[in-house]
Amino acid sequence: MTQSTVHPGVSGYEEGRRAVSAAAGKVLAGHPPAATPVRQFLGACFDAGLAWVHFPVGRGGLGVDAGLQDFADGILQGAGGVNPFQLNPIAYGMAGPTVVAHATEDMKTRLLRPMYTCEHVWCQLFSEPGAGSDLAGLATRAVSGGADWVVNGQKIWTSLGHVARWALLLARTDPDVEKHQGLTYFVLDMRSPGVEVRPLRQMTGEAEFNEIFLTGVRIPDTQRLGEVGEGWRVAMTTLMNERNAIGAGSSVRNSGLIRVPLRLWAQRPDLRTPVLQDRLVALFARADAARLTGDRQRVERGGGPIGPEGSAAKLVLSELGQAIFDFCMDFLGPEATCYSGYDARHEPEDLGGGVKLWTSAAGDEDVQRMFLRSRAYTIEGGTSDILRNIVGERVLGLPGDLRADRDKPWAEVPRG
Amino acid sequence: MASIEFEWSDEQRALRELVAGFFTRSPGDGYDRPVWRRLGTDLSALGLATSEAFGGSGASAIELGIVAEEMGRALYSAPFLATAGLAMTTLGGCALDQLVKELLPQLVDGTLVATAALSDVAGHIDLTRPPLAARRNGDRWALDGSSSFVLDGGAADVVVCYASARDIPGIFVVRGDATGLARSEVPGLDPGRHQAHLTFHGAEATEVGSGGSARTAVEAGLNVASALLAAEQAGVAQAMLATTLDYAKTRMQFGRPIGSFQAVKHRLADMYVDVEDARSASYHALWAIAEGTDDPALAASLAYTVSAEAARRVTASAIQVHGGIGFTWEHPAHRYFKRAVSNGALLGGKAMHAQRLTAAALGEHALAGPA
Repeated sequence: MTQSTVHPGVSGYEEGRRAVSAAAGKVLAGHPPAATPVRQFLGACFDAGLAWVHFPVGRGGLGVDAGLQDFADGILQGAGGVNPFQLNPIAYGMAGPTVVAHATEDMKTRLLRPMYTCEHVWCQLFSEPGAGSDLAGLATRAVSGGADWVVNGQKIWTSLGHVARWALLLARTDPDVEKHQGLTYFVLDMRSPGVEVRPLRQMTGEAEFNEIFLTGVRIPDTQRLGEVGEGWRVAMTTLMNERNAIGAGSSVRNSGLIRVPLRLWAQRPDLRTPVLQDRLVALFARADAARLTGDRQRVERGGGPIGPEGSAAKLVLSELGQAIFDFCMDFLGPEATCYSGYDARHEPEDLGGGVKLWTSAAGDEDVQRMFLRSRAYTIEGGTSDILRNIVGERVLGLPGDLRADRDKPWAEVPRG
Repeated sequence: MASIEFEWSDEQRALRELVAGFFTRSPGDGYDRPVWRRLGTDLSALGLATSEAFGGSGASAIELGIVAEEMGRALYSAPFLATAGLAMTTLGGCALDQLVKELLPQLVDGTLVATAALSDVAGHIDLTRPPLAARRNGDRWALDGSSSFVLDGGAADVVVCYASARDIPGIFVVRGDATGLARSEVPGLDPGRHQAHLTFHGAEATEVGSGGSARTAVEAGLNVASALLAAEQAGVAQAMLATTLDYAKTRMQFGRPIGSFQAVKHRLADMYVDVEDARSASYHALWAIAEGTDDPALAASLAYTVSAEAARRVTASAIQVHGGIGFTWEHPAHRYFKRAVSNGALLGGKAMHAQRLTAAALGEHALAGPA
């Protein structure tokens, strides 16, 4: 786990630190991780305010500085506690922050604790076949029908869609206004009639993602987050958290993807050459510089939220990850042509009570699979092309590009 | 008290503002002796990492790094890396010697300029093989041999020499005007960076350190100078990112600012990424040296490598985004580019730092022999 690098000058920081420390001590004393079922341990963490420490008391938090989450996780996971991000990534990284900021009090009560205890796995219904980078151009329609909304459309790239109980959904409620203005945000019960989930097979042979078909799905208006037409603003809460989750590097040297080629190099003296050594050391330098930039920006933020520089971190780490696996394949030489099997199915580890390690993917040993998987790094969670726009416009203040859809009603924008 | 890595104190911020103002308003560069004196006295910028016992301020390499970064930003030329980085750090490791006690205060206040001769005739630095040979000459020493690409070797009043006496490495002080020392300046790719070839024919020398501790002191000097050079590179890169950004926001083509085109915007985004990494790696090296947050040799060579690549790419991109104007003599872009490229070949060059990095990153798994 990363060590805390939070600015100690943040007001209330020391008090918050003491509160977190006391709460964590109590949880560990009453629910030792080794002797407590996972779901029960997570429930105790939630009740103690250690789920999202910056959330209000009673909602899984202690109302302290968000930067103290690392500190809390360090104590809990250092004592053998699970990492909730690996168990329910969309819930923990995105749904929680979105729900706590925008849902009704009643919905917060219904949703937050079960998502943290992994009783409810969550997924995200944003991307569509016709709306990838241009997410705000999405076409899934939600039409008001009294107390309910009726939703029709197709979503894609849905991780965990096949096991999720709840989804974050962005849908178009008004096609006759500019694209960002006509969106509304909902949470959707995936057990609702009309929700169909189909696995989507990817180039590695596995099906990490799904397609979701929504046909006449009814959503109660109480499951709307934010006002009608305010969906884009709500979605920003979700997306900033997504990029941070993907871009957040580790502050421990060689614990990122660079560990894979370093281990390979150590294990295979027979494959070493001077040219490959130079490449590996250059990758090591890039990885360590990126790690240090993450550390530095954490210190400079002083515990505050990640800004658009988080997009730069995701850009760097995803492209570095690809370069790392390019190296691994070149290092393996003829062995790189082998593959462990396109029909292999990866079964997530079960930690008991149906709580599974959903984020565990191919093991570090399966280099060819990781290499193929790395092609998605620069697409998922914001393509490198879009991220360079974000860095250019939001970090460096460059003017935006010309937009053909600017100020036009969504319905009049060409699609295809 | 140990400071948190990457967290600047108020004093450090004030120092940055002070030296930045000086470098942008300075009437001459740091090779102008009265200006160099002012750097030592008015700004107290030379003795920042030197003990108060020798007239220094007893701060650390972090503060020297701030000065170096602002020098890079202003493209300021001065014998700073050689004096405050190489020579003063090395001499600081021999601080018990009587001559060193006399020299340090004069280096702190800018009376003297100094350098260190560590490289062989090809400019390579190998700490196991001092480039010069020392022999007894009565109660003094005499040095023989050549050392090339010596930073500020022409201007230096004091040359700190790395020489072996019967296979024992030692540190020897040779005066710039010593008989038996011949110096010839090398015209530079970067006109603001001065190097010289030094030839020693029985040059009169005083021994100030010997054995393992001498090597340690020389290595410390190399680490500090490498970290300062990296900080300077970070400053160079930041200046060119800022200049290029301004240009991309105001230069109009096809009826709009060129920075609105993705081809230009994406290049600037990559420049930003390089700048951020150069800053992080160079600050980390400063903290590793000052506060022990990492192995100084690893951190210094990492900073050297990362910032050399970053500064070269950023300054080259600056020329590209400026287009034709960026290739002219009048525009400053070429001067920054030359500094970045030249800096990336100083202090042993990229290959030597890559070797140090290889040893640190791969340890026992590194391939044997020279890379």
